[in-house]
Amino acid sequence: MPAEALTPPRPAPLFEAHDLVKHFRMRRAVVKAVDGVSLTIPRGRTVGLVGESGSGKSTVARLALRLLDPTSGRLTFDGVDLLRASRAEVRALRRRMQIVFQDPFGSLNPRMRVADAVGEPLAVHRLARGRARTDRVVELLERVGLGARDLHKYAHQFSGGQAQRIGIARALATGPDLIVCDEAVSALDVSVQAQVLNLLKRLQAELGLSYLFIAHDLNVVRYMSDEVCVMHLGEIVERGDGDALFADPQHPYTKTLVGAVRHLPVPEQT
Amino acid sequence: MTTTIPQRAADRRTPLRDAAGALRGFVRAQPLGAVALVLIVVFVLAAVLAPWLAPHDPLEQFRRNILEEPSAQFPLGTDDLGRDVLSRTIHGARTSLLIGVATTGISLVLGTAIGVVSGYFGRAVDVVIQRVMDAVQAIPGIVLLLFIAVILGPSVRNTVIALTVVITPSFNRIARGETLRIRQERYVEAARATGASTPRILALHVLPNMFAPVFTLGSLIFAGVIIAESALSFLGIGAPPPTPSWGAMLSEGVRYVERAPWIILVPAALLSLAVFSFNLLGDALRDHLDPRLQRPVARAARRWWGRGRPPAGLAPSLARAVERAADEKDAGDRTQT
Amino acid sequence: MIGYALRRLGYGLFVMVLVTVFVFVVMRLVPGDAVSLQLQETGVSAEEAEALRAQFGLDQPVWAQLAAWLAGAVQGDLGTSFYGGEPVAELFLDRVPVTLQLGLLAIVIGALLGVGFGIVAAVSRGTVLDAAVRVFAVAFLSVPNFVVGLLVLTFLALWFAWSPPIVYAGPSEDPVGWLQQIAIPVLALGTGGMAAIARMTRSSMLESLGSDYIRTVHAKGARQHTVVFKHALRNSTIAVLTLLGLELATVLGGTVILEQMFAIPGTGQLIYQAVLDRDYPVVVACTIFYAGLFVVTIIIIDLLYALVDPRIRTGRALS
Repeated sequence: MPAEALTPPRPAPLFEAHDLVKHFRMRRAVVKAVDGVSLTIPRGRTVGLVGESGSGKSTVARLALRLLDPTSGRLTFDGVDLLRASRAEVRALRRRMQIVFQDPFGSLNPRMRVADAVGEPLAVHRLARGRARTDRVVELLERVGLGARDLHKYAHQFSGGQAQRIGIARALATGPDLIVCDEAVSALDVSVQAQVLNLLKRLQAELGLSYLFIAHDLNVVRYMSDEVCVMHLGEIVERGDGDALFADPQHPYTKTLVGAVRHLPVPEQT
Repeated sequence: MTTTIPQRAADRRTPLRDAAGALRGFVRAQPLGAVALVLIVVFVLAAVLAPWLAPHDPLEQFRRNILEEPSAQFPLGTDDLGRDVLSRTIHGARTSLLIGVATTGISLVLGTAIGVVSGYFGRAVDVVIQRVMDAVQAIPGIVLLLFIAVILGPSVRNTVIALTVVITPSFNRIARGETLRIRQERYVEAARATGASTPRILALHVLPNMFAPVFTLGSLIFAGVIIAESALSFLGIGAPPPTPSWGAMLSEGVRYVERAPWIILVPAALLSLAVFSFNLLGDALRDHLDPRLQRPVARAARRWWGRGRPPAGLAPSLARAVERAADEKDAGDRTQT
Repeated sequence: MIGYALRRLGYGLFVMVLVTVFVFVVMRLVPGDAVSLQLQETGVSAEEAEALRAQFGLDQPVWAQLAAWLAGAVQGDLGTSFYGGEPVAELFLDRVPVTLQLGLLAIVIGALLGVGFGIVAAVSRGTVLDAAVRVFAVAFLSVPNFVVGLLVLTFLALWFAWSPPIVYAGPSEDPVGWLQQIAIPVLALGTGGMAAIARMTRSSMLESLGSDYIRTVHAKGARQHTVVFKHALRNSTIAVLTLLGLELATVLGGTVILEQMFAIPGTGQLIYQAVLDRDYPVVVACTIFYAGLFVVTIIIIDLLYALVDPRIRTGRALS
């Protein structure tokens, strides 16, 4: 584990999921959306989760943040058992784990100004108010490449890439340790994707963030992640270092994934 | 990071300025809606200023001037009790508006609250509330109105109560539908992920996003309330005589149609015009606020196809793609700094 | 499909029970009971009032009254009128055909004209013709149907010194007199429906015209009018049918005033008279009957939907 090598005095990982199971009961059948997934995200690192739509990736994201309750399994965040934590504890922990969604417009309230959208986590956790909140929001906006002149705009006045930056700024507001990126760049054009990915990388370096990075695009996941987990039908079928996995896929499903993207260029860091 | 924000002062927006901007946009996009708005303003002014506008007391009976033709003293003639038709008509607007505002206001707040709670919490609460609403809605409006009005007895207050019972389910239905839609939205999930409380989510995320359909319905309902009020007083179970009310004037005047048609023509025309204005406004609001027909989309679509008529149901994603292509560059440029 | 139909029926019955409960609960809100309200002006002695209460079961608690009424209703006994003492069911059945004739005629006329105008407006979208149809549709929606009736009546009286017959005769007894009598109410009831249907036809046709489906048909090279009529119209049918069903409720509601105005002895007049006379058994039965009619209509629409679109049968519909 590279994380241990880097930070020997603090071996405990930031986030751990153990044997996570989530079943949805439909009218007649039971859908096993997530079927025994285990994950470990070390501090300051990125774990990638790749798989096609319907493989259960997004369900894992929601389970990790307790937006959904798992059928069984164990979740630990910084040593705290998430499933046994009280409501107040979970609420407090939400400061430290955030999410960035796929559809940048869908994840921003169309009736809210940027100042209120990005400031909402600050308001919810009573971290700043009035002038201090505005200043903090401007700081966050500048961090993601926007600025004070965007404060009073609405989401629809932005392009997709800009809107996703707002979503990232909102996720950063409470100074979290973990950000779950659920297909965070999938809805964007390729050139914009690269910019947002690089922004995420820069933020990680600056702020020491950990990411759970979810995408269906193996190239993107490989570019972002220290460890890549391949998900198929609710299970992790293969995991390992991105490049190694890419060079020598073992599981047949990984092989098809790799085969599908091999001819595409890897985004380059600028 | 203590940079001052030079643009902020110049760029400060107040809700008032926002509203003014929205109004300008609406008037420009919906000329018919603007006409309706003007008519409604006139209607409201007439109702509010009735005591000063009306030449006579609406209840005063000029015994020597019964069923008199329009004249200088009585611009629209008099009715069978010698009352001034113009004054009664102007004061009738007051009754209509009063009942309309009270009923629409109360049922909008009540129905929306019920619908939001029902839709957001779902399960048993939802089932029970919605079946009760179904039951109330299953009874045709006028029958339910008759039923309640006769049990409570005729008065302005009871008319409002009866109408509120009839109308609340409509607001409930639309608010519940909107809540079910909004509850699924990513931004609600994002707010939950942030740790926002349920009241906060309802107040800041769910409610603001249903303003458009709720107020559009409100405008249409207002028109319906005006009709219902006049129908009730036409049947003699609305506001009790001698309250000046358009519906009552119609039913009193119908007996003297051949001798004095003016008694019913003016209230009939004004009643229809008032209803027409609110219907027209509702229509214009619907066109203006329907997300599928929003102007950025239409504009983008026009750019996309060059010229000509964009299909009504153009996918917003397509329109956004067009806009995105245009704006993406400068966002990218700014990031690279 | 049969399972779905049964579920819808069960839902309908449930709603009807709720309607009945609602009606009885509201009746209970009356300060004092029906008999004392009804008799307070006529000066009947307390003993007589007591006897009357017993006769109509009003001395029972509300739930017992409700149960007794439901038990009777199942066997076709809707109670007896406070006044004539006739069975309510009989009073009712005498009048139902009159109202149905009136309502159905109004709906058929409204539907034919409405669909016609709606198609014209949709096909000529954005032109003066379209604007005219839209404005007129809103205008017709805005004139309450009793005002339409009143105005027509006024003009006919003023200019032709003509007024409809005062005594009602059925279509089989006096076809000409019948037509004269119901022509204006049918017109008054039909115009509102016409306007609503024209608007619905227009918007749902435009929606189909804008959909990918129609665009594909266009791309395949079908001629404009074929596209319009074959596909858009078929796709609009469901919406228009739904509206027609709901329009039935509006029209039946409208009959209350118009039957009164034009002296037509239908159920609308019956309920209005009963309301004025505080003839509670009749009011209760009429209210519940109207609700029943509406619920049946909704269920029929649901089943039609399900026939057209199989997905509805398995998923959630209109609940």
